[in-house]
Amino acid sequence: MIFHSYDYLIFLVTILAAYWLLPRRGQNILLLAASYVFYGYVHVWFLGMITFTSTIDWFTANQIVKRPQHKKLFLALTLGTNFAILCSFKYLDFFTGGHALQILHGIGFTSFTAADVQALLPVGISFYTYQSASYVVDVYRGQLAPRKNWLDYLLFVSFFPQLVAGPIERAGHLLAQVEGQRIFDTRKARGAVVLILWGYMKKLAIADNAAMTCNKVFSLENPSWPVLWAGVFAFAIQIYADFSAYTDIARGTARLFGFELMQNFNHPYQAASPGEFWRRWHISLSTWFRDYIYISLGGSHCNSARIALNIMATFLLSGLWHGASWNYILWGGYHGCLLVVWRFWENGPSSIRPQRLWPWVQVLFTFALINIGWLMFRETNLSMLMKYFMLNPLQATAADWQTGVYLVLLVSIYSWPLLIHAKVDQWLARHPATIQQHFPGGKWAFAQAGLATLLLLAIILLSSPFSSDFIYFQF
Amino acid sequence: MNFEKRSRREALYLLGVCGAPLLAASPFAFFKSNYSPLTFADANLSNIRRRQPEVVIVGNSMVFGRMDTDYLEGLLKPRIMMSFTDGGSRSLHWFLILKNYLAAYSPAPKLVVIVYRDYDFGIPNLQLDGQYLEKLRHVMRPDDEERLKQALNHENKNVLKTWLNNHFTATHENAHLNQKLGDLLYDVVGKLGPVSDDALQLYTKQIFDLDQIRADIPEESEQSNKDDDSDDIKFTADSQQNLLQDFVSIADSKDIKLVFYRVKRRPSAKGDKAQRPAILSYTSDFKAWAESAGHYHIDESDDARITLAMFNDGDHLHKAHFRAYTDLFAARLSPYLPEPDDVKNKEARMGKVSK
Repeated sequence: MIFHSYDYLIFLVTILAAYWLLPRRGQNILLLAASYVFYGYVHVWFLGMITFTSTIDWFTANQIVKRPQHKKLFLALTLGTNFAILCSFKYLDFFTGGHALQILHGIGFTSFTAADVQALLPVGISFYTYQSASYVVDVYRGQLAPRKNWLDYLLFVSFFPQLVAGPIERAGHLLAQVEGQRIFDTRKARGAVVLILWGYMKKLAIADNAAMTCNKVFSLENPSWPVLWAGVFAFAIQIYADFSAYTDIARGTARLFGFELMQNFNHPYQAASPGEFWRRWHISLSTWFRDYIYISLGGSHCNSARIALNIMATFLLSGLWHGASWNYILWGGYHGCLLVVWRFWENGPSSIRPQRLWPWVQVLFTFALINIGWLMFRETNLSMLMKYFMLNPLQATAADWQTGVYLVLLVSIYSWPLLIHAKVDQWLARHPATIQQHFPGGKWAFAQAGLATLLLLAIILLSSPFSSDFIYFQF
Repeated sequence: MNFEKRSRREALYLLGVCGAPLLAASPFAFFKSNYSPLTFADANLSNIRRRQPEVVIVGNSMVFGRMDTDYLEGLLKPRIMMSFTDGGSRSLHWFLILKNYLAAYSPAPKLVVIVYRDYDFGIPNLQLDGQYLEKLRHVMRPDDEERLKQALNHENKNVLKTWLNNHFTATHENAHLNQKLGDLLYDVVGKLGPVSDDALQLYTKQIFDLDQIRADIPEESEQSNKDDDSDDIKFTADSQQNLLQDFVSIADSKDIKLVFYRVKRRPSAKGDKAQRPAILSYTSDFKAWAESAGHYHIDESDDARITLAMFNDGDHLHKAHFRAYTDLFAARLSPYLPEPDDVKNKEARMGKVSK
C-alpha cells in the first residue's frame, strides 16, 4: 500500500479511529494487524519473510541472554540468516554477474522471467532487516534487555508508517514506545497534520518538478557540461525532497498514533563538511552504520591508516546497501574518500584548514562535492558516467551555459521552501525557546492553520503533472 | 481512555488546522466550473474541409517516427490521405481527433487508421498531463471535459492526484502555472547572456529533442509504457474502462471504418523474442472484438522484416528505413483500403452522411 492512495487513506482513517478506542494491548494488536495488511497488500508472501526474520531475531536475542556461553553462535546465526535472506533477494543477480535468472531456472523455477526476479524483492527489506538486526546486536552488547513479548517485537519491526522506507528505528527508541502507554495529544496531532502536508508538498511540488528536469537531462546522449550539472543539481533537490518527504509523512502518521519517530534529515545541504553532511543525511542509516559497522571495526580508536580503512569499508557497505549496482559502490567509495581526505585536511597545517574558509564557502564547496556523488548515484550506466566526467566545460557554448542556468533556476524556483525551512530552523536554534513560547496562547494554532493552508495551496498550484514513486522504495 | 484532558478550545484548534486548508482551497473548485481554457484548433477543420480525405492516419511518433507520410500519400493515390499525429498522444487524443474533426465534417473519411503500441487503448490515462494536456485542449470541445476527467482518474489510486485532477488539473491551472514560470525564467535568463529568450527556448527544445535521447533510455513519453512487461492487462471494451466503444460508436455514426494498427516494438539485442502470452491474448481479443464490431485490426509485431537494425531510439526507426517501412505498412493496409472516390460517389457520400 502506498501513502498517496485511496486505499491507504481509508485504511488510515479506519485504523486511527479504532485505535484510540482500544486499550494499549488492543492497540498493539490492531497496529500489528494493520501493519501486516499494509505490507502484505500487494504480495501476501512478503509477510512470511518479515515474520520469519522478526521471529528469528526475537528468538535469538532471548537465547543470547539465556545461554551467554553460546551468545556468539546465536549472534552469528541471526546475522547470518538476516543477511543471507537479504543477499538472496537483493544481491543475487549482482553477485552472480547477472545470472540470477539462469540460477532460478536451474533450480526448477523455469517459468520465472526477469520481471519476476525484480518483483521477488520484498519492498523495504533493507530497512526492516537492519532495524531488526540492530536489536539483536544491542542485546548482544548488553545495551538492551531482550523482549519477552513476541507480538510487540513483531510490531516494532513492521510498524507501517516507517516500514517501507524508514527511518530505521532502534529498539531502545521505538520498541520502548510500543511497550508504553500512548495518549492522544491534540497539540501533537496538529503538528502531525502540518508535517504530513509538508511531506506531500515536498514530494508533489518540489521532488516531482525537480524530477522532470533531472529525467530529461539524464536521458540525453550528449549533454553539455552546464546542462549535465544542472541535471545533477535537479537530482540533488529531487532525492532530498523525495526521501525527506517520505520521512515527514511517516513521522506525521506515527505521531497521530502517539509515536515519535527519529529525525532522519537535518537540512543536509547546509553541511559545511562531508562529515557533517552524513550527520544530517539519512541519519537513521548513517548512525546505524556508525554504531554497528564503523565502531565494530574499531572506529576512531586506531591509527590513521586503520581509521581510513574503517571509513572506506563502512561507506562501501553503505553504498552496497542502496542497491546491487556498481554505481552505488562507487558512490559509497567516493564518500569514504571524501571523509578520509577531509579528515587529513582538517588535521593538516592550520593555515590551509577548511575551517579558515568563510562558512558559506564551506557550505557551497561541500554541496558541490555532494553533487559529484549524486552524479554517481543517479547514473547506473558506468560508461555514461565516464563520459560525463570527461566533459569539458570550456567546450560549452553560451547557449549551453544559459540553458544550464535556466534549468537550475527552474528547479530552484520550486525548491525555495526547503531553504526557508532551513533558515527558520537555524533561527529557532539560535533562539532556544519552544515554538509555543514564540507563539503563545492560541497563536501557534493559528500559525499552524495558516501553514497548513499554504501547504495545501502549494500542492494544488505547484504540483508537478508528472508524479513518480518515492525513490527510496527501490532500496 | 487514552485521550489527554484538553479544553474544548484545543479540539477546535485541531479542527481548524484540518479545516482551514480545505476551506481555503474550496474557491478553486468554483474556478473549475467557470473556467474553460479550451483552445480548439479550427485550422484542422479547415484542412479537412479543403482536402476531404478518404483515408486518415492517426497516431503519435509511431507514425512520424517510423514512416514517410508524404511517400505513403503517394502510395495510396488516387485516394486522398491525411495524417493527424502528435508526439506522445494516446487514445483520448486520438478519440478526440475522430470525434471533433474527422466525424464532424461531411463527407467523413472512409477509413481511419489508428496506429498504436501494445496497451495504448487499454490504459486511457496515458499522457494526459503537462504538454500532453495542453495538446489535448487543442482538440477538445467543452463536452469532452467529463471524458478527460474520467480518463485522468482511470484506476487512479492516488487520492491527492484524483482530487487535484477533479478540481484543478482538468482546468489546467497548475500545468498552466508551471508553463508561466518556465516562460518567465526564459525571459530572465535571456537577459543574462548573449542568447535571447526566444533563441534560448528554441535551443532548449533542440537539446531535448527526440533525436538527442540515449538509445538505452526510452523517450520520456514512452516511460509510461516501460512497465508493459510486468503490468499485463486483460482486454475489455467496457466503456467505463477505456474509449474503444466510443471510437466505434462515433465511427459507425459516420460510416467510417476503423483500423486498429498495432506496431512492432523494438526487438531486443538478441533479436525478436517471443511475445508474452498476456499481450498475445490481449491482442487476439482486441482483434476479435474489432472485427465483431465491423472494423479491422492489424498486428505487425511478428513481422521479421522489421529488424533491430532499422530502429533508432526506442521504437522509432532510422530515417533511412522510413520508406521501406512505409512500403510494408501500405502493403498491409491495402486489403482494407476503400475504393477511391469519384465525384459522383463523393456527392452520394455527402448526401448520405448529411441525412
